[in-house]
Amino acid sequence: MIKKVIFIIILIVIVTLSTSCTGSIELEELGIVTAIGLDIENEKIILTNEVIIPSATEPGSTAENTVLYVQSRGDTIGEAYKNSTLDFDRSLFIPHNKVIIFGEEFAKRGIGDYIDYLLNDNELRETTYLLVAKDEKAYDLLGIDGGLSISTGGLLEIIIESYNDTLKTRSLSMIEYFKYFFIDGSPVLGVIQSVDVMEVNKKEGKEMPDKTVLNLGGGAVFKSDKLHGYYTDEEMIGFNFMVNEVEKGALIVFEVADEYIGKNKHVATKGKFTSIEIIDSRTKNDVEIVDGQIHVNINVRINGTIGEDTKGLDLTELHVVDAIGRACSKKVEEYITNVMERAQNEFKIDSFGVKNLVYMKYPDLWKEIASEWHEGVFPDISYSVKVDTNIIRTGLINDSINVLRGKEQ
Amino acid sequence: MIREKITNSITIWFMIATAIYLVSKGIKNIVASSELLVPISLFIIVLLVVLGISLIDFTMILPMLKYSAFKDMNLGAMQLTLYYTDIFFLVMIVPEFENKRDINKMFFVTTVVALLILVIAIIVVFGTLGVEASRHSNFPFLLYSRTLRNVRFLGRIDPIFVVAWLIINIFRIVGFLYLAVRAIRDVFNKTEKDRIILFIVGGISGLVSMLLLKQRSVIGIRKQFDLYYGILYVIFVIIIPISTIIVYFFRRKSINKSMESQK
Repeated sequence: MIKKVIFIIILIVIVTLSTSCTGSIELEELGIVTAIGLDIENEKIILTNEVIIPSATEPGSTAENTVLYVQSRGDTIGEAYKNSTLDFDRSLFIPHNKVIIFGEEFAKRGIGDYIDYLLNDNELRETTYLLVAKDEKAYDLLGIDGGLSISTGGLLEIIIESYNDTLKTRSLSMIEYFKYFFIDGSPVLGVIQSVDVMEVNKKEGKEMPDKTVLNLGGGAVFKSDKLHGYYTDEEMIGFNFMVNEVEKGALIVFEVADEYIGKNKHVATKGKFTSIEIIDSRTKNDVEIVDGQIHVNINVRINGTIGEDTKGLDLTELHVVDAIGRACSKKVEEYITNVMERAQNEFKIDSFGVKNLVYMKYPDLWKEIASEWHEGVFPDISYSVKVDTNIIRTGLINDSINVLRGKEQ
Repeated sequence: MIREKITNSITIWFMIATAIYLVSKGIKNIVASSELLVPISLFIIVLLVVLGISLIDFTMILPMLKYSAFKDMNLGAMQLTLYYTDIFFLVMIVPEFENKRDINKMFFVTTVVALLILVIAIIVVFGTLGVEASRHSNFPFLLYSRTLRNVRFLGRIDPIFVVAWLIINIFRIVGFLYLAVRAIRDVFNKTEKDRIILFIVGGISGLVSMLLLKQRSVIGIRKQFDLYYGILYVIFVIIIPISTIIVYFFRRKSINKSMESQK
């Protein structure tokens, strides 16, 4: 009998404690953060948090603002985070944070001194994306609307994850940043900036003023932990090929020489561009020593489908399809060459992990050149780019829609 | 803060109570429970590894043999032998085995499987986080499981790893508590029916855990192999096992005779 009573008491204790109520914080006590901006002013960290207003996000709510912005200051990120409780009536809850934006000045000063908190604290997810605000403060960008998301954080998360459609920027999470930081000390982050675009709203029936939206494009080049410069949108295409981060869905637009038009007669305007949608892509970089110099072989293999052909190429001819593949390869080679030229001649920073290849293949040589790699060795290394594009599909139509086949032009 | 301390204390005492209960039921029940629960942990680890395969970048794994000296690798291996002590549990329960003929096979399979799981976990973590980022983490595999972004349909997957971690650790506690209690019983010539030693050792383990909780529950100190480690290594990994083998070599006939007479 006593055993049964003890057993029942233990069961009651377990059931009570297993409801996870110890250490819990009720939802109405939390300020759910969806985006964080980090800036520095007067030697103080400025932490700007985008916080969801729960009542405004309920179905049927007519509230104009779904988020509010909480700003706090401190000597460290941790202190600024805690200081937010001095004037905001909720605990900031950061596990749902989507993105951290570094203000340009903050990034130029060097983020390494401050970001320890981001990885050390167990609340923030390591998969949070990192961005740099070009020419602006991070807090100036938070709150700029432009999409259907209820928050800037939600908007940016979706935009970042779509980077592969254009390859013009990069998606890099916090843990990936640290991975590249430790390997080559020169990660490249995505760049966000505000741009003015024309408001399109015909219903208003009057000329509308420009509106400001967030634009994600380009790459922020870091040397160690300091922002060093920016790659342009087009250079980022080459960069993404170089670091083998091109996935299914990316579109490469290029021109094919006129001679491949063939016997097509154009029934509509002859366009200029052809595009290939990538099905899969793989880049394999290798280093070798040629005449005592480090030489990098960049080999890219692309499988793709014809995305669109505005020029009116005769896609029923195999040699034309091959020519399209060669034209695409040439364009990708151009992208890669452009980004390599800028990295070697202007930034003198190896953001591509070439250093790691030398380290792995020639460890003895690496020991000799490690200390002067970025400025002394990398700018002088030679490279060759070989891109092989294989078109495996031409899409649902077998010829461009603006041509009549078989008739002389 | 107070709530957190209470929660941690509850976790410790629940684990200790579970361990005491299992140990009180004897080795057969411990092994039977582990047969049921440990596969769940192994399944979770394998699942996490499989879900993260797409994240692995093998270029992150550096050629250890090319840039490490033979001495450094061996010092590292010697240091690791002092951390991975779980094999001792298997060694200590050998007298309980009914079938001692397959003992070599059992040790071989256990060692190979354990090493295989470790190697796979290390490759996955290094390939995903990079070698240096992994070294900066106190809990690299947990960090790895937190980076599995492509399994959103499962929600956040890292609590599943915590479940596996808890299961494995409860059996480690059970194993070492069993060995400690058995050793003390042998010293004081007590039988398994005498449970007071179990409660004393279990209680002391709980109190020590509480003390560590308040003092140093998680401190990641990366210490190089020094004289202290060297002495421990020589005593526990070289002298004691070799002495045991030598004693067995000279006394194996008398030991076998006494065991046969016991049967």
